[in-house]
Amino acid sequence: MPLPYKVVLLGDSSVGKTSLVHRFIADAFNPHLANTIGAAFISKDYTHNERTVKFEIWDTAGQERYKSLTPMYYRNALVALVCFDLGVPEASFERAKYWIEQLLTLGPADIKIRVVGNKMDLELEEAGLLLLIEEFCRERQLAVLKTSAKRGEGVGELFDSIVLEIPQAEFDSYSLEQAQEGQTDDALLLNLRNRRTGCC
Amino acid sequence: MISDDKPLGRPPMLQSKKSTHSFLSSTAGLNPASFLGTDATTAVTLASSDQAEIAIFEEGLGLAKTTLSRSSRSVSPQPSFMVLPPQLALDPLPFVELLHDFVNTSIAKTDDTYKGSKPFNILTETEEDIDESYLEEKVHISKKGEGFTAKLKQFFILSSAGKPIYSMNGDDDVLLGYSGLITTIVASFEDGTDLLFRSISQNGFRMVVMNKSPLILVAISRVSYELMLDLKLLESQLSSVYNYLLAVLSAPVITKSFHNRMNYDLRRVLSAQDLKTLDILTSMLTFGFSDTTDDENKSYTVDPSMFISSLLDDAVQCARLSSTLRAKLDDIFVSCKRLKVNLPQSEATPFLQGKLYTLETTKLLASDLLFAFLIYDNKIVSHLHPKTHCLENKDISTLLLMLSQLSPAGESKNVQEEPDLWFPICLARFNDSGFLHCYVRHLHLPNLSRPLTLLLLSGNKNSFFEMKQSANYIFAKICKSKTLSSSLPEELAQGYLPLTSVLKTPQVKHFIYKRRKANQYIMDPLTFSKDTFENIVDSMFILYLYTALSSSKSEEVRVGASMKKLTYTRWHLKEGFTGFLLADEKYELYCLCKGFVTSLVLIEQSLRIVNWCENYRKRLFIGPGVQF
Repeated sequence: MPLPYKVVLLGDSSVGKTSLVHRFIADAFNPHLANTIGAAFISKDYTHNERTVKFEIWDTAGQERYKSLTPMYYRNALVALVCFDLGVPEASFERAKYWIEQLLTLGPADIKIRVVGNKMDLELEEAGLLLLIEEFCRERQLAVLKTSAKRGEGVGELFDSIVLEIPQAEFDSYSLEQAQEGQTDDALLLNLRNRRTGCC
Repeated sequence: MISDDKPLGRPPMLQSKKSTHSFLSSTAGLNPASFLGTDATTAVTLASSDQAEIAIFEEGLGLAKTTLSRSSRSVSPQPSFMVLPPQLALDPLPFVELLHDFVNTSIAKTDDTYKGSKPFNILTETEEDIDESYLEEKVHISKKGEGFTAKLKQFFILSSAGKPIYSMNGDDDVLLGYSGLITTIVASFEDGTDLLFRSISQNGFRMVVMNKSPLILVAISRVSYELMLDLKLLESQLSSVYNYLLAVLSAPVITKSFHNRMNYDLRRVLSAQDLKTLDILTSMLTFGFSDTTDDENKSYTVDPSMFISSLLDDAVQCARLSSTLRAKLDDIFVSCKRLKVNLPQSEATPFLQGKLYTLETTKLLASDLLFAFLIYDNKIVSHLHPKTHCLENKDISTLLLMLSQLSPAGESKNVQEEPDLWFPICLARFNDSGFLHCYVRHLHLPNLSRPLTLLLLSGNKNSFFEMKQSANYIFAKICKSKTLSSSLPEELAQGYLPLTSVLKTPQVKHFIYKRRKANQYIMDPLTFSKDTFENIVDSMFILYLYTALSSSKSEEVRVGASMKKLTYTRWHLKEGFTGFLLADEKYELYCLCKGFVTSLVLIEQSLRIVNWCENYRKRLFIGPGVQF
C-alpha cells in the first residue's frame, strides 16, 4: 500500500473545492455539481516523480452551518488547501482568512497550509486585492497558488508539489512499517479481501 | 346500518387534451361526446341504494352470510374466482357475494347519460384546458413577483415576526405583504385564546397553518384534488417541509437563531441547495413532478410516489425482493454489527504485542452504527435498526429526500472516482435536538442501471472510518456471495415489470397495495415515457384519480370478524375510469381500471391482487426490518 497522505480542503461555499477534487480525481469538470453536504471523502493513488502516494482527501462543505464539524476533518490532515474564489476574492477570502487563522492556532502543529485561488478563468483584472492577499500569506509564510478546475489549470501542479514536498524519510519509514506489520490484522484482511473482489 | 347518502356530485368533466399515459390513453376513437356524463365522478356506495338492506349475521366459524331483501339481486359466486387455489382465498365466499352486490348496486345508481361537452381540468375541476402555458402560469414554480397570485399552490416558511424565509413562488417584494397578513391573522387568532390556528377553507381555497414558533409554516392550495381530502394531507405536507428544515438545522439551532433577535434572517444558515430542495419537495408533494432544469436544459422529474406516500399516511415504498435474498442482506447487516477489529496499535497496549494481549485489544467495528439502509431507486431494500428504536416513516422519507439531493449518483461509473459522503442529519421524529451522522456510498452492480445505495447512520461524528470499513465489509460480502451478486441485480431490475401483467389482471391498469401494520406500500411501477408535458399531466391525473378514490365515501361491511371498507367510483373522464378500494384492518387496495368494468371482472381481479400480495408479503414488504 502506498504512503497514505491526508489532505483537507477548506474554504467558503461555492469557491470550487469539490470541482478541484473532481478535476484531480477524474480529470473532468461538471458545472452542475451540487453543494457538498457535510463532507466527502475520496482517496486516490497518485504517482509523481516515481513516488506514489495514496491521497486521502476530505472535501468539506463551505456552508457556515458545518463550521463546527470541520476540526474533525483537519485534525489528522497533513496538508490543508484553503481555497478562495479569484472571481470574488474579497468576499471569499474572508472565510479563507478565518480558516488560516484557525489552522495556525488550533490545527495540528505540522500541518502544511496552501492557499489556493480557484476560478483563475474568472480572475479579475485589477490586481490590487490579490497583492493584499499575497502579502497576508507571505507574512505567514504561506504559498498562494492559482488554479482553474474548469480549465484544468494548476490542479495537477498543486498535487505534484505536495508529493514533492514529502520528505523521503517518511516514505522509508512507512515501507519499513509495512514490512513489519503482521498479517493478522482484521481490518487489513478486510481491505485485502475488498481489493481482491475488485468491486469497491 | 345504512344511511342514505347522495352521490358526490362533481362538475362535468372531459379531458380534451390528447391522451397521455399508456393506461390513460384511449384506444377507442376520441369522440368527446361519447365519454361524457353528468356526474363526472359518481361515487356511489351501498348506502345510496335505498331499497337494499343487508343483514349480516355471523355463523359458527366466523363466516358471514348475506341476505338481501331484493330478490333480484342474487349474485352467485363467480367461477373465475374459484380457480384460485383454496388456500389463497382470504375470504369466505359470502364476501365475494357481498362484493358483487355492492358493485352492482353502485353501477345501477350511476347515471351514464350524456349532458354536455366541456373540457375538464383536473387541477381546478373547471372547464379550462390544461396546456403548457397553463402549467407555466398556474403550476410551475416561479420566483417572480408577477403572476404570483395565479399559482394554484403556495408554501411559505415565515418567522413568527413575519419575515419570509422560504416561499414556493414569488419574490420578497410580493411576499412581505402576505407574510405580514398571515402572521397577523395567526397572531390575532391565537392571542388570548388557547386555540391553535389551523386552517381557513372557502370555495376551492384552503390555507393550512402550522405554528412551530419561532417559525410559521403555511400551505395554500387551490388544487382540486388536495381539497377533496381533509386537512391531514396539507398538514402532512407542511410537516415534511418542516422536517427538512429540522434535518439540516435541528430544532435548537432554529430556536437559538431567533433567541437574540426575533427578526433574525434564517436564510443565512440555509444554502441555495436547501432552497432548491424545498422547491423540489413542495412541487413533488403537490403535483408529482419537479423542475430539475439547469442552465442549459429544461428537464423535469416525474414521480407521483411522494404525493401517494402522504396520501397513504406516510407509507414508504419497498423494493420487491425474494425473501431469501432479503434474509441474506439482513444477515450481512447483522454480522457487520458483530464484526470485531483490532484496535490500532496506538490505542492498544503499545509495548505488549504478544498473542496474550490481542484478545483485549479488539473492539466492535460498528459499535456506533444505529440504523442501516440499503436503498435502490428510493425504495428500501433492507433495513437494520436497534431493538429499542425504530425510525418513523416521516424520518425515512426525509432521509430519502436528502439522499436524492446529494451529488448525482451514477454520474461516474468508475467506483474509484466516487467519494464517500459523511454528513450530519437531524431526524426530527427520532430526536429533533441532535444530529446523527450519515455515511453514504453507492455500489454499482453489473447489469443494473442505478446504483445500490448504502446508508449507515451513526451516533458518533468521529466514526467515519469505522463506517467506511463497515461499508467495505458489507459491499465485499454482497459481491462475494454468488447468489447475491447474480440474483440481486436481476431481481431489482424485475421490480420494473408491471405487476398487472404478472398477475394477469388486464382490466386493472394500476394499483397500490398498502399493508397497514408496517405502513409500507407497493405500487405497480409507472413508466412515463412520453414528452415532458404529457408525463406531467399523466402524473397529476393519477394523483387526481387516487385522491378522488380515497376521498369518496366508503361503505363498511362486516365480514366474519373483520370490517371491510369498500368504495366503487366511476369517472366520466376521457374514456372513463373505474376506481375500486378494498380495505380491512390488514391492508388497503386501490385499483384503477380503464373504462367501466363489470363487477365480475373487477372483483375477481382485485381479490386476486389481494391474495397475491398477502401471499408474497415477505417479498413485497420489509416490515420492521432486521434488529440487532
